[in-house]
Amino acid sequence: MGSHTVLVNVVTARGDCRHGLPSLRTAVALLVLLAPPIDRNVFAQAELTGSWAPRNTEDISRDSYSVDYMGLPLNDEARMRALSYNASQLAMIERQCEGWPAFYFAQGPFGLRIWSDTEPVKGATISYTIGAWEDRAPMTIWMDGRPHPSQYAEHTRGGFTTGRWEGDTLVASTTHMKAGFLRKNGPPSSDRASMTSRFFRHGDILTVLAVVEDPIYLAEPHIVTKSFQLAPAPLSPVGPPCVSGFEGKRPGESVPHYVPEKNPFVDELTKLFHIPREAVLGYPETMYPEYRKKIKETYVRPEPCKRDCGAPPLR
Amino acid sequence: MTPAIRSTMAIAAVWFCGVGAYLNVAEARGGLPVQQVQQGQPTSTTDIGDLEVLQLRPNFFMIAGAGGHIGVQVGDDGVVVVDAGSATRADASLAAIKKLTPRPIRYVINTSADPDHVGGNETLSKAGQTLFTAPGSIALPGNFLGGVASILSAEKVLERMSAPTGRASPFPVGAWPTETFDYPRKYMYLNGEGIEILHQPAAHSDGDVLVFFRRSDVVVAGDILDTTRFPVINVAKGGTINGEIAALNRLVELAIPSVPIVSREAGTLVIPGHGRVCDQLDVVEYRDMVTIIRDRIRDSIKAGVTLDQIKAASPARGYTRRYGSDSGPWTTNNFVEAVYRSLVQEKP
Repeated sequence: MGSHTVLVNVVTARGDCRHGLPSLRTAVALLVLLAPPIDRNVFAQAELTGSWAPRNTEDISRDSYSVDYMGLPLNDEARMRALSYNASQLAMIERQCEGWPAFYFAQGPFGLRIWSDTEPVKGATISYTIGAWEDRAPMTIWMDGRPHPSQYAEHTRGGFTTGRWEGDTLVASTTHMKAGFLRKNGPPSSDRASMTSRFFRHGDILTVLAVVEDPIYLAEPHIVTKSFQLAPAPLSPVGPPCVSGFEGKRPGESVPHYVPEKNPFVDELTKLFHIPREAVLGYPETMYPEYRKKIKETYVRPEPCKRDCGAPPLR
Repeated sequence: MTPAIRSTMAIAAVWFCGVGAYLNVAEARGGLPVQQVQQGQPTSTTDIGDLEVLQLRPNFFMIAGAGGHIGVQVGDDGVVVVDAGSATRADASLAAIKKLTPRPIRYVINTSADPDHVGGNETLSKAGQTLFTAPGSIALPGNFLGGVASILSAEKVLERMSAPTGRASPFPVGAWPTETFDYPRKYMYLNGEGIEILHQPAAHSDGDVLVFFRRSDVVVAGDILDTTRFPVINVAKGGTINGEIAALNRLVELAIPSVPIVSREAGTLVIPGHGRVCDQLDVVEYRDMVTIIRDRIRDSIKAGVTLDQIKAASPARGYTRRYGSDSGPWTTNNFVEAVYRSLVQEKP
């Protein structure tokens, strides 16, 4: 039974229809006058809630080698820190459950479970939440116009995010992220980083474009895109627990790192694939097609792999 | 009134009530202060003058902008304040505390003897009331401490703030600690929770303490943790780089992150001397930074490199844009030099 039918029943329940109809007109007129204005943008918005499975068609990692920062616009400070990174840091008990900063939702291999919270009268969306996963905290995108927290407030794994609609695209702005890594092989991100993400829906495909800016470690914005497919079965909104354990490093014992100029892996990709060091180390200009043209004349293609292709190099 | 109009009015009333409820909700979201703070949610903030008051827990606040950060625990026993900010901001700090509660300040605990942490001691102490002469409280002379709130610190803080008879004291007598200790751990139980005051004997200085509020799950770290810059190692006042790292390790031990459930934001909060509120992972990040730079300088010293050569090699590279400075009271070179001198002093 529709709401109009209910209203008719209400206004005609005790009397003659001939008396009820004028009252009905009055009631409808009053309700129209009193009705909250409908936000026309609502009709332009896309439905984002649901479970979105990763398509993983993008190049999502580039972290198989200890030193591979290709495609990242690192500055000198970031390069220095990345080259001092030693993967044994992950064995430290206090870092085992660290997880990733908020931008990982658009970078990692996992899907998204998105749900919304609405206010009860107008039905306006108060927030969207992207659920957590194994090494990713939940991210709430506040749509109610609240300000970002104080500069003194805690930075969280999920960061603090506000959103707005631009046509049918949700644009989200994230601050208060934790320091962490852009890739698991050491390129850092700082707690001063911010992210602007755009959510585009085309049918059953959701594409996220995340632009990370970091005045501490990035020379240019770091841009990531990732597409997801609407999933028929629900994805989990939470990840599994994380239980830390002894992996060879006692708390406070030491911090594994390479001293400057002593990273043994710095030339690994150059030796294997003849990729110029500046590209391996994430110099910003090497991200662009112009760089390929620049090195085209001097680049020597390595011999085709004949055996053990993809295996670690023999030492 | 016809039944139809009554029904219409009823519908309208319901509509108004709904909108009203929504507006109330919206007001509550924007309204301050919020009494209950959920872990991991952004802290509520109130601006008082140019000070910011952040509510971290239902009964625990942080005042920022008065010099070093001030921690404020509020409860039936009164107010326990950790650090007092600078002298010039003392009146504003006091006004901010009075807005939080009408109850008297009972204790001012100092995390070090730095002026931006103890400058407000006298003002806050005099505005408070000692626990020991309050009506119905433990019977002590009415003039005990002059009736003012106690100032508690490590013994070394009193030494730094006072002077022998006949010599000029750096701080007025009213700002001096009235209750000191010279052992690793002092404790109290006030406002329904245990409070541990943990002496870190040679970190930022020789008088540092960490103050751990056990039920609130908040640690006030003083200048052992400063997210705005490299840690200030005051070698002349007993600070050492290894003591600083030991203190940061102690902080890491005290703080507990949200494990095994990592899908939610929760855990122990740490108030730094300056900068933003932290959790364990932030302290780990800071500790690792300090440790790595210490190791680089230590390796250089072992290799016989001079201080000037070490400075020229920029051992803080990788962290200078975030924590370093070329000017001001604590430059990157000041930090490198302090680490160097501290390590050289410690050499057997």
